[in-house]
Amino acid sequence: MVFCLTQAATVTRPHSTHSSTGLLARTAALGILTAGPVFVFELGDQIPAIYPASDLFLAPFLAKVAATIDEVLHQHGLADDDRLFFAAFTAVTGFGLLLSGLMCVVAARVKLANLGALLPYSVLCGFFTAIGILMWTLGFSVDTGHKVGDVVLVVVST
Amino acid sequence: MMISALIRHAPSVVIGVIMHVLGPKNLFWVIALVGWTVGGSYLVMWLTGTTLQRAQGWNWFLQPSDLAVNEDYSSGSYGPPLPFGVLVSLARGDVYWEAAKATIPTVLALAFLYVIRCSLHSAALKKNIRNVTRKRSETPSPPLSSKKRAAPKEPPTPPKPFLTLGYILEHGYGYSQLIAAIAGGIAVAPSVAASLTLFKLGAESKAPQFGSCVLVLLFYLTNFQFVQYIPKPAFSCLMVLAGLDMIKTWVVGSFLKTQAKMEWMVAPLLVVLAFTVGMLTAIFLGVAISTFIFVATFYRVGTVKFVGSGLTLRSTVERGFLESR
Repeated sequence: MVFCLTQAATVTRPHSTHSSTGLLARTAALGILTAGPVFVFELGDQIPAIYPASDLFLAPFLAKVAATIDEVLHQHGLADDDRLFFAAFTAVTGFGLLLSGLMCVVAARVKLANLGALLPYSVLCGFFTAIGILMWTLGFSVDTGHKVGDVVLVVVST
Repeated sequence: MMISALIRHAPSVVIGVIMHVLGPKNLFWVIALVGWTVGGSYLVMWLTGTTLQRAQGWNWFLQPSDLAVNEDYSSGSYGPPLPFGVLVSLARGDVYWEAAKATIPTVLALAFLYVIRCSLHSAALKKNIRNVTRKRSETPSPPLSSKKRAAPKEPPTPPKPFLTLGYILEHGYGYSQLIAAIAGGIAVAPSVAASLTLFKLGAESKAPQFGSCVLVLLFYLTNFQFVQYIPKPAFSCLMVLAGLDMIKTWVVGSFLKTQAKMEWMVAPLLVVLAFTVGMLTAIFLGVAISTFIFVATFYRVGTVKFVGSGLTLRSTVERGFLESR
């Protein structure tokens, strides 16, 4: 539940006059309700205590997707249309997950399950560090309602 | 603005740091600290005579309006975030394709990088099975009755042979993402390291795992209205914790582990590139730079050297008569 809320709180719509945190939390919860049992059903016999939770790794990407959709809708004077926003957001997120899910299946079938291990170690380090920093900045946004970059710009300009 | 932002973020940082220190000792501390954050917030409010409405007005809590669903939206027809609402909205033509198209670079980066993430995560999950099984076997048993004591002790069940990395990636991560995509949800990841305390509570059986899904269902059906009573730092501290964990593991840990510091320098460089040119481009640039460094290091080793004339590439290693034939 906490992970759903955290996922939802990181996704912001700067041009919308009302918050979508509740709907986004439900979107994250829907992932747990539908995808979570797949993990328990498929692997629960062999891996104890799986407890699937909304993956916060996706938060920076979803935040960017939401901001892009919000920006385009704002340009067309539709920033407050929740139906259009959620239809585009879930369709795009679904497409991304469909693509990565299929790639996971293909990677497993062609004996490339250890794909991550094929990348240079230093690249993996940089990649995960960047995601870690992005996660922290999202935590900052949840608390303050501002982006770290905006705050830094204000400080620099003063 | 900056002072105000720092004051608002400070509690999350403090709690996140404490979680980061205590979490590895026992996952119970992370859960307990989330609970204490909620309790501590109400204690401070009680001591300072602050009402919940005022705290919500100061943005320390989510406001009811944050969680309320727009009336136009709730009274409309079936759509997200209801199960498979994404398919309905697609069929109805609700998707604003211009907005969707604008997100394609981010979505492709998400898909590609998430496969790498799943590959590494499934490897960690597989590696952890042995630790968990060992931990479970070390757990002191509660006092048993004489009848039960007579029963032979069952050895910990070893993982079945077909549980390969590929099996976990396909059947766990792959299928779950496909289901989440069709249903219109967000992907989930399993807990890699559940604590001994959770095992003592019997958390490894299927019932409590499905039970946790039932709890999420209750929140889902009530539109998460209960959440307006939970302070924001209880959520954001988890983001700080995740950030700290990753930075420590992948910056500090890798620096200590890597002998060739030049190779390690790619990591901070990639971080800078990720924030300037984008994540996916940064990854490709990182791979290219790492390859150059590797080739340069390989040539410096001295065991094998080559002389290139443009037409031929010959090794300079002197070989014996039989080897040279």
